[in-house]
Parts: sequence; structure tokens; C-alpha cells
Amino acid sequence: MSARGLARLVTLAGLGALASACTRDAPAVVYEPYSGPPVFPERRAPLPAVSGELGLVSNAGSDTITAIDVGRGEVLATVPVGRDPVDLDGPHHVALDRARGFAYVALSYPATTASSGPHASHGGSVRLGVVQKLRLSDLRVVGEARVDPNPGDIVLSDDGRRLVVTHFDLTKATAKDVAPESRRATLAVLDPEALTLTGAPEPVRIPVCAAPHGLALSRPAGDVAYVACYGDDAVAVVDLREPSAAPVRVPLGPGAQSAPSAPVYGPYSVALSPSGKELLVANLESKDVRVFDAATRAPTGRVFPTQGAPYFPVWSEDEAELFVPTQAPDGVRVLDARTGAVKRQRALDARECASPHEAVLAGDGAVWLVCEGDRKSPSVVLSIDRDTLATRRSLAVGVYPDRLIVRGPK
Amino acid sequence: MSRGANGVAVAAALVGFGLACGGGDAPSTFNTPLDHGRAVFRDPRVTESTQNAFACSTCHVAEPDTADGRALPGAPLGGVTKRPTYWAGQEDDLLRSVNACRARFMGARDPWTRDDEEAKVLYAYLDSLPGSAAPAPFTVLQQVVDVPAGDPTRGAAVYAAACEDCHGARDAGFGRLTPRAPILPWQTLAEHDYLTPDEQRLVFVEKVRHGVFLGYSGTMPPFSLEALSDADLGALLAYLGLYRVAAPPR
Repeated sequence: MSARGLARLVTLAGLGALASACTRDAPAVVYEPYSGPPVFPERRAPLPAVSGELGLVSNAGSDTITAIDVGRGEVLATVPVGRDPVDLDGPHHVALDRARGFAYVALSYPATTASSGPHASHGGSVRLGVVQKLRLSDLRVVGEARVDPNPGDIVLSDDGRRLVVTHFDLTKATAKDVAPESRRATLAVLDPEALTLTGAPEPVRIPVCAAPHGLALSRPAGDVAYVACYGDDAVAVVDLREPSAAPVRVPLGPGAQSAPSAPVYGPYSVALSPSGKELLVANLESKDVRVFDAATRAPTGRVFPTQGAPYFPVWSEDEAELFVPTQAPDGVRVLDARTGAVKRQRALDARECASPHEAVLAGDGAVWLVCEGDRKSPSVVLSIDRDTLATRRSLAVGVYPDRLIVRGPK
Repeated sequence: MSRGANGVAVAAALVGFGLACGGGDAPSTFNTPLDHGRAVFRDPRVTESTQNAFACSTCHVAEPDTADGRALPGAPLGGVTKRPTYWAGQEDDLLRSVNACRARFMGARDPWTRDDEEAKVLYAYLDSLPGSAAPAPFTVLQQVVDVPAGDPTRGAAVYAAACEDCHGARDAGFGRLTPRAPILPWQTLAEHDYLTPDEQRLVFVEKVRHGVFLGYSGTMPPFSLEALSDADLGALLAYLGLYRVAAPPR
């Protein structure tokens, strides 16, 4: 034992002996109440006012959100989010409600084995996900709720009253020797107004399918959810007005199977057309996009190969074109939404945009691409011309960006 | 608190006991909010957890040059109220940062708000301290990798500076802060007896570098690269006899 440790023991022993010998109360210590200026002042600068479109980017690999003035093509701020000061919180996708002045981010904690030593890796625990409600003026957390592990997508209904989260739980989806229903993860349905810092009601959980990921909601109230079921090779259609009713799972095509470890199609995202009449499903494994009739839930027969794996495509406003970002090879394709003909395409160099993850249309006539990058270092979002696909702007964001949400003024 | 200041505090406590035992009702002493903040800084009752043995001062020094030879995992807190970010930029709100400590290391159930008196006086105390307004470097190694063995004699000094306050004397645990802190090294080795000796050494590296974070558990804070170099860590592990070399000095 060191000299300091020994001295401490002696001191403690002496005080203990005194305390034992003394039967009277020690002097009461009374403190004057604090009456100074407010403490712990909030010093984060408010976001500058944006008169046009505002964009938010979730940076899953750096625990930050980047705010963008889309019209001016400028980054407004990149701020930390999350709950854990050391572990990666993995902010995975973000939803935006400009009318009410809030944003919602899903924290999808990565598996601990990715960064741990021999102690942590043997546990293999999976942390619950969290939805955080952020005040849009400065992106401070003003509420949160726990959801299931591995939040995959988070979407707010157009009327701002329903917040829905999928859970891309591949561990659950690939569990061996379990019944198919045990592989199914849930949709969590939350009331955005009920999220506070002191708690929130348990979300409504609806078992939906194996490894549900991309999500679209009917407009304006989000009564119906369309879900890309990666592990079931299906699109699930869920009536959120009847959460106890069984979801309808529509197979993607011939040979679709419930073999989560080896999906044939691997649906990853869905995009509802502006009119809400058609649903575009992007499939990582079959490397194509497929169009479904939203009302009848039937395939339209329009299947368009994409060469690379399509991630989050988007419809043009007139529903005539589809902008499809692909990986391996990295690029963006503009398809005729009726025929699938490739109208324009551009390969993307990794130095400019590695692993394009999402395409987003903006009012400035640009298509914005979210570029994952190498998932280890800061990446970019890229603004390209809709017609020429030439780069207009490149904005630096955080590590592993995975969602850009753009909304116009209130 | 410096060793000298510690001595003053102990003397004051003894005088207090003497007064209290000397006769009559115990007098009350009135202190300023800054005194209160200083007391809060040193008091493990900053959480409601009866298991908690940590105070802010367990891991941080408040005033410059008061480390007293200890190698603490937390950054010095002089100037902290003026820093733009904390936790290596993962936080830009000091109250949230304090609450992260209270929750992770001290078992606090509820976060402090700006209206809590203890939060107010702690802030006032911290704000009164001189110190750097620059963000404190805090590099937490994500990947656990082995470190070369160092000099066990140096390791003994590292142990005294970084480990002994919480874990007590090596092999016996005398003077440890809390029974929840394992006696080193044998309790930790016993808890991981299913691992090979090399893997067991990595557990020590993991615990020192990750603390309660990154899939581990417990209440130990992580030692960043700035708080404890790999060279010192290698020396510490050698002192603990984790390289299967000749028995370290006792």
C-alpha cells in the first residue's frame, strides 16, 4: 500500500473512533441559498433563420445532425445528438416537422462487438433504440422515448401527428430454429406530442415482418404504413388505425421466401408517389426497383433493373421519373417511371460521393445525394443538376450520413 | 483538494467533533453558496444512490495543481464553465455532461435540472475556478489492443496514482473506496477465468480504456490516452503480473 493510502486509512480510523466516542450531534451546516445569475446557461447558438427549404442530415457515425439551408446551399451547423457521451448513439434517420418546430431522430446503437474487447463481446447485448425529439430552433433535446433495438427508419405523417419507427433487427431476423413470427420485428407508433424529457407513453408496437427497414406513410394522416421487409422479401401494409389487425405482407415476386438469412429480393426502402397511388420498392439483393399499386397492393409488373444496389430512390413531382442512387457500382440513374428506360445516369467517383445512400428532390431544381463515404471519416451531401446530373455543390457533413430530410417553410 | 487542504479539512472536522462533544447543543455554521458548491463537489451524496461512493472529486481536480500526484480519469474542472464542448465534443451542454457523470458513474436515477439547488451551487463553484477554456482532450480508444509490457517499478507508481484510491492496495484491497471496486488483480482475473491469460490482460486494457462504456458495465470511468499513456498502462499491467513474466515486486 502506498504512503497516501496508509495515511488515508489512519485518518479514517481516527475519525471513526472520534465519531464512536462522541454521542452528540455534529454542528449543523447551513448554506445560504443560491441567488446568483442563472446557472448552466444554454450556449448553443440558435440555428439561423431559413426562409426557404431547410434540410437535416443524420450522421450515424459521428453522433451529429447537420442543418442545411438548401436554397443557399450552405451548412448552418453540425451539432451533437444522442444520450451517451462515449458510445456511438448511431443517429439513424431523422424526421422534420417545420410547422411545429421539431425534429425527431432515431438512435440505433450499433452492436458492441464492433468496438469492444474480450469482456464486452461475450455478452452480445443489444441496446434498445431511442427516439429523441429535438427543438428545431437549436436542435436541443426536448423529449425522448424508448423503442426496440435497431431502429431502421423514422417517418412523420404529413399532419405531424404520427411518428412511426421500423426496427431493422437482423439478429432477430436470422435467429435459428424459431417460428417465423419470432423473427418479426415491430413498427413502433408514437404520439410526437407525448415525447417529453420526463418520459413518454410506451409506443404502440405492431409486429410486422423480419427486418423491416424503409417506411412510407399514406398522406396526410399516415393511416397506412408501407414497409420494406428485407427479411421476408415482402412489402408489409399496415393499417395503423387498427394496430391489432395483422399486417398484410405482399411478396415481392416469384420465389420470394421467408428465409431471412438469404433474401432473394431484399427490399430495403419504399417511396410513395406524390399522388399516393403507387409505391416504389428498392431491392438490394435483386438489384431492381419494383412498382406496386398502393390501393390494391398488387404489383404493376413494372420491374426496373438498376445494375447496382438501389438504396433510397425518389419520385419526380410529376411521377414521370425515378431518381435511383445505387451502390456497387456507385452512381445515380434517372429512370422513366413508366418504362424503366434509363434516361440519364452518372457514375460517381468515390472521391466525390462514395456509396450514395439516398436521393432527395429539392425546390431549387437539384437532386441531393446523401453519400455514406467510407463510414469512418466525414462525408458529404452532393447537389446535382436534375437534367445534366452535374455537380452543383458539395457540402461537408458528418461520418456516415444516412438521411437528408428537406422541408419548405411553414 | 491539495494534501495541505485535505489536512485543513481534517483538522476542521476534528475541531468540529471537539466542539460538538464539548457540551451544549451543536451550533450551526452558515456558509456561502460557493462553500456549498465546494462541498457538493466532494460529496458522493450528489445522487440518491446508496451504493454510490464517487464524488466529482473522485475523478476530477477542481483547482489547478491539486492533483496531488494522482492520475485522474476526468479533466481538470477549472475553466469548465467556459469550455464550448465536453466529452470530446460529444456534448456542448455542461449540465447534460454533469448528468452523464451522475447517471453513468454515480447511479443517479433522475437528472439535475437548472432549478436544483445542488446544481446551482456546483455551477457557481465551478464558475469561480480559474482555468483553461479550451476543450479538454479526451481520446477514448474504441478498439482494444494489447500494449507492450512496461517496467513493473514504474507500474507500481502508476497503480498508486491511478488505481489505488478506488481499488485499494494491490492483492488485498485495503483502503479501497467501495467494495464494488474489485481487488486487483485477482478478483478481475477470477471473474474472467474462462479466458486465456492473454485475453485476461486484454480485459484489463478494455476496462481501463472503456470503463463503463462500449459494452462493459459497472461504474468505472474510462482512462483516455491523455489521462493514461499506453506506456504507463503497459507498466501497470506488468506490475499486476499480467505478462506471465517474473513475479512483480510486492
